[in-house]
Amino acid sequence: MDATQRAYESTVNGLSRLRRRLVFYTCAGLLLQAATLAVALLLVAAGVESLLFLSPALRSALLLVVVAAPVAAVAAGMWRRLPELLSLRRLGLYVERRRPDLKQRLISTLELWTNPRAGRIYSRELLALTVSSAAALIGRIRARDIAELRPLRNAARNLAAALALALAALALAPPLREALHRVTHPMTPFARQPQTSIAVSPGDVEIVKGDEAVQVIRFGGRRPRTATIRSRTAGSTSWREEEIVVEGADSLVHIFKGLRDTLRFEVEAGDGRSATHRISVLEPPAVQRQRLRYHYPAYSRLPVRVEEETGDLHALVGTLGEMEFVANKPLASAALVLDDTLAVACSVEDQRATTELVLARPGHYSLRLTDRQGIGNRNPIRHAIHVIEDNRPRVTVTAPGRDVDLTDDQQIVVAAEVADDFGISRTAIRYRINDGPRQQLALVGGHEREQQVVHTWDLSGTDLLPEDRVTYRVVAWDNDAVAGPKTGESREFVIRFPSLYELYEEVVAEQEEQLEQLEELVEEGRENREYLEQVRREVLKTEELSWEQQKELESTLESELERADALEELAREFEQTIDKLEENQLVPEQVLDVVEEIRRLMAEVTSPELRAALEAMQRATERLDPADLAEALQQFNESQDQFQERLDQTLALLQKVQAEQQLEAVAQQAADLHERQVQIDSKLAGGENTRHLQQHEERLGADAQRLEEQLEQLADQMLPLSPKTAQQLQAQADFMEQSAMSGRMQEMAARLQSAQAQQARRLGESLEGDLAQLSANLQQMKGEYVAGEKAEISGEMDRAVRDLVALSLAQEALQHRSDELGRAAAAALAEDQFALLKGTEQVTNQVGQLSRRTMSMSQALPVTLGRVLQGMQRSASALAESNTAAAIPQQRQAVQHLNEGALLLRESVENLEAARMPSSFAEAMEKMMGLSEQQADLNQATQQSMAPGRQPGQTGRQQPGFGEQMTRLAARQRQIYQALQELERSTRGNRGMQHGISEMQNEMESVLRDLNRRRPNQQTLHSQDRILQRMLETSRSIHSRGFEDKRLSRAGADGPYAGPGRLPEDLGQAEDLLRGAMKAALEGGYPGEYRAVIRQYYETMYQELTGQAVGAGQ
Amino acid sequence: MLSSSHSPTRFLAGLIVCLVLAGASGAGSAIPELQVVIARLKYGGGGDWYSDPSSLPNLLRFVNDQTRIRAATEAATVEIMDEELFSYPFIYMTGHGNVAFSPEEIVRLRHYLESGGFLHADDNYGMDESFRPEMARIFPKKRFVELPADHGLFGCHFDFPDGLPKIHEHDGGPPQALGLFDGDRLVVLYTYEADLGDGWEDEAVHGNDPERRLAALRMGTNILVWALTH
Repeated sequence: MDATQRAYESTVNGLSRLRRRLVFYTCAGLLLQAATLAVALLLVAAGVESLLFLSPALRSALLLVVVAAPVAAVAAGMWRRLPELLSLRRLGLYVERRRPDLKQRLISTLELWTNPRAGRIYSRELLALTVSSAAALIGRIRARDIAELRPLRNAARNLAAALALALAALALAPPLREALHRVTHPMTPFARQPQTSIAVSPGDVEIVKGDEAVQVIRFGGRRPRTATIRSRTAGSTSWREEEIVVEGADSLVHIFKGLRDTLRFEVEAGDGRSATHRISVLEPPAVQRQRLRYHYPAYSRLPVRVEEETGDLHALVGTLGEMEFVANKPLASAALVLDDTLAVACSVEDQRATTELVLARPGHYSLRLTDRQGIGNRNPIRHAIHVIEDNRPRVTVTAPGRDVDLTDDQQIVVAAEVADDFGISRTAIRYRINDGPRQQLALVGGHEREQQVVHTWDLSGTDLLPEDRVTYRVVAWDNDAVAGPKTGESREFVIRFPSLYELYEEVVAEQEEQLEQLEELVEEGRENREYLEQVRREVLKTEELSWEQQKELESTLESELERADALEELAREFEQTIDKLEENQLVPEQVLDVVEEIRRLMAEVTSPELRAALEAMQRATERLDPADLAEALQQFNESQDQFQERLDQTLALLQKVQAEQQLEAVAQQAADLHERQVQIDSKLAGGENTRHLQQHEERLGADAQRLEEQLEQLADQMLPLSPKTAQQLQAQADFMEQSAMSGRMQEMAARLQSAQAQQARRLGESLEGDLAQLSANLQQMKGEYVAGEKAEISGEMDRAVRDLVALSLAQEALQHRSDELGRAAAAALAEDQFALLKGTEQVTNQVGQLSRRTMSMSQALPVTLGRVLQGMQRSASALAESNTAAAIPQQRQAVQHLNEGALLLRESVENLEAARMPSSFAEAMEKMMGLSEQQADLNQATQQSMAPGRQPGQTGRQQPGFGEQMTRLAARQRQIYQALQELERSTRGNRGMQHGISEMQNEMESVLRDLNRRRPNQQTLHSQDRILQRMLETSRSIHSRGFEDKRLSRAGADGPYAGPGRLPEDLGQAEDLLRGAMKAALEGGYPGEYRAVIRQYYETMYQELTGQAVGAGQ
Repeated sequence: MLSSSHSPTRFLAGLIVCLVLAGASGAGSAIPELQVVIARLKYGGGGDWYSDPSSLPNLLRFVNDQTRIRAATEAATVEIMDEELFSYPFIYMTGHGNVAFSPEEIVRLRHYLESGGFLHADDNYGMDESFRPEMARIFPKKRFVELPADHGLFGCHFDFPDGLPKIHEHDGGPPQALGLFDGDRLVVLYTYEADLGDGWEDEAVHGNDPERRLAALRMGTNILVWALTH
């Protein structure tokens, strides 16, 4: 190969080298332009996607465009540019254009060297030169010198600008970025971005159960008008929706209140929806159960009590409350908050918290709990602290239990039931004499919750005067060791040391009232009787009644019924009066007997027959049948006669009794005045305080004045009964007036006041003499009156006995004659029988009159005499019919009853004599007094045998000699019992005393049983106290009559309100577990028969449990 | 034998009151008029349970005039062991003397009161000493509490701003309305030192002035209304 050829090849090689570089530059430029185009298209596509949210297909097409367009541009550019570079000739031309300095050598080389025909045209050398020149030149040409680089640089700048723009757009517009993402992932399905965006903050939170969660909801994009909050609690499958109004706001606050469970929620508005958030609800600590253990104060002796049902504290002051609480989760700390202020830390162990509290005052508490997450309990319950105050002891005086008069022995048995909720420490009698200082007398008693305290109170050492009053209460102290003993008091009672005059006035007032009532009833009865008799006659005559008469008759019958009722009421009152009279000797024994008779009469006065007759007459009045009415009136009038007769008898006896007892009373009052004057004189001589004596003398003067007035009144009253006694009474009244007794007593008091003891003493001595004379005169007068009465009645009764005996003999003789003479002399015998009948009627009337003056008349006598009259009447009738056979049995019966009547009348005379014997009653009283002293000693000995503080009958009997001691006590009690039996025999006939003795005997038998068994107990002591009490009551003297203040018969007056401000919280009810259990059981829905059984079951238990306690306290 | 059929006494009483009130409001109704019958308690012990005879008829007439309650104007008389006890929603007792209940009577009276019955005891002076211990035997776990002036009893029909009126003077003490409660229900009302019964009696009996009698009758009305509606 030659050089030209090598030059040629070098030239070609040089061109090829240039071509490669140029192709490179061209392709690079194209690629840069394509990239710029791609970026621009992608940005446009993202913008389109952002606006239109294209479907995947369109996005794919769009992406295809974005990819295809640059590729096409590159291809087009290559198609346009590469052929020029790939052809050597065209490349040569391109270079020639770029390098004119080649001067066609290059193209000439390429055209001519390889063209065979050129050798023929051009010289070889020329050609070689051209070729070598071209080769040399081409070798010096660099591609960059001939390439157009500016488009390449422009393309690079454009690309950079496009990229910068794209990045800026993407950075500034997130939607564009998202759109670019969607565009670059055309096949991936994307949800279209909503127009409204919703953001919630704080979104997911934790709260405590019951608290509220506050969420702020912010809206972006299109502002919605409304939004919906959808929420769902854990475990729930459905959403709960709540619509709220937004009205274009940027944000709003929503509060989830009182959340109890964990909640998920999201917010929807327009086409937007927030993310789903979670509100986690945490459980706060809370008390699941509690246990309260009460340790009561030791003095209460109550056992420990455990309560789990309620957190309220309810216990006695001073109780230690041990409290245990169990929470629902482990605790970090716990505290008891008292009254919302004071916190007391509790001991904590896992879920348990414990503490103790001494109950001192009422209030409330709550529990503050904190769990290990630091969450505290919410709304802790406020539990009440009820502090039960130890109640005051309750004291009830059971004996005498009323205001009483003091007895002669000035002893009174005071018994009281004392009860406290936890026990008694001591008891006492707190008393005051008149307006004197308050004094206290300690009583012996136990420490039980319920006990009976009995004390025989001897007031003889207090120097009481008549009309003095001792006001007293029984006081008890409980054993409250926490707040100090509290006291309870009984009602206040009064013991009166009555003067004779007070007693006298009360008795007189009562009896006068009863007399007045009786007289009114008698008078009313008479009027009614007269009217009814008149009606009877009218009915018999006219056989009809006018309307007015009928109404008047009805009214009269009504009045009769009322009268019968009133009389029965009066009889009841009299029953009470007689009981009172029996307790004292204001009236002599015989008067008491008469009063007893009056009581009997009054009880019988409204007999069933009378009531039956009244009812029969009422029925007849309603039927308006004249015959029936006349017959009913007849029957009623007969009953009414008997009724009236009894009334008259009662009234007469009552008037007589009143006079007699007043006679007795004035005699006693005179004796009392004398005795008091003697005492004053004696004390004056002994140099006693004249001030004290002056008061006595003043009272004496007032009493003397009253006695003088009573003597005058009694004189008037006695005039119809005994003119002689009335005259004597008036004489004594005159004596008092003439001797100016009352005035001299006042004068003596004045002397004593002015310390003129000598003059006072002289006056006292003269008064003493006058009073002694007055007393003796009155005693004598009373004796004469009683003796006179006795002699008169006894004489009349003797005469009646003789008459009856005579009648009996005559009747017997008539009977014999009837037997002997037979029918022939029947007419004559009938006349004799009639005469005997009339005689018997007279004696019967006489006995009736006597029965108005004495109660000694046998009660069987009227009946017996009635049978006599009946037998004689029938005998007379039979004889008048010449029927001697029928008459004789009647006569025999009449004789028999006459004899019986005579015997009864004789017994009545003996009764009268016995009744008027010197008082055996007083003797019995003295015996009773002696026995009461023995019983008092015995009671004391029995009490001492049982050492205090021990259980009677248990430890005591183990002491040496206890058995012998019991034997001795039993023997002494037996002696008293036997003495009482004798006394009972000697007082037969005295109703009140007999009853009292019988009661005492029963008690003694019980005591004897205990002592014989050597098991005396508290009940034995109580029985002995009751025996003594009855003995003292039975032996009450003239001063011992019980009294009650007369009811204040006046209307009430309004006073200031003194009631409580509010009801107690417990409404007066202590916890009653048994009845609570019963009620719970009854509410169990059982059938009726089961309910009855349940109630019976509980009632039996209740009775057993409470009955003992109640019974013991009675 | 106590029967459970007695237990709805209170209900029956309420029903009667409702029917009566309904009947009163609907004039011409075909429902027959039912009458509340109250009873005076005849008790043992010797006290005059029959005292103040004209009191209850007067009170019941007043109640008929002044309220819509239709009450029989004659009070029945009942003993605790009577079969009819449980048919009376309201029993009244008074007297001056001793009151004593047997063990059987205590059980039955307790049953009556716990089953809806109501007892008004009015001390006529002298009943207090025995009445309180007897009530303690019936309800050993309860005690009398004094009703304050603002208690509903004093305003359920007529107003008594100062509580129980004093009608008759006894011991000079203030009048007291004392109650025994079973749960929160007043079952026994004991009017002490007031003597309402005297105020209910005919004017001539005690000579009380018209104002005092009116106060007594009004207070009695309140007691009856309260007992029948609570």
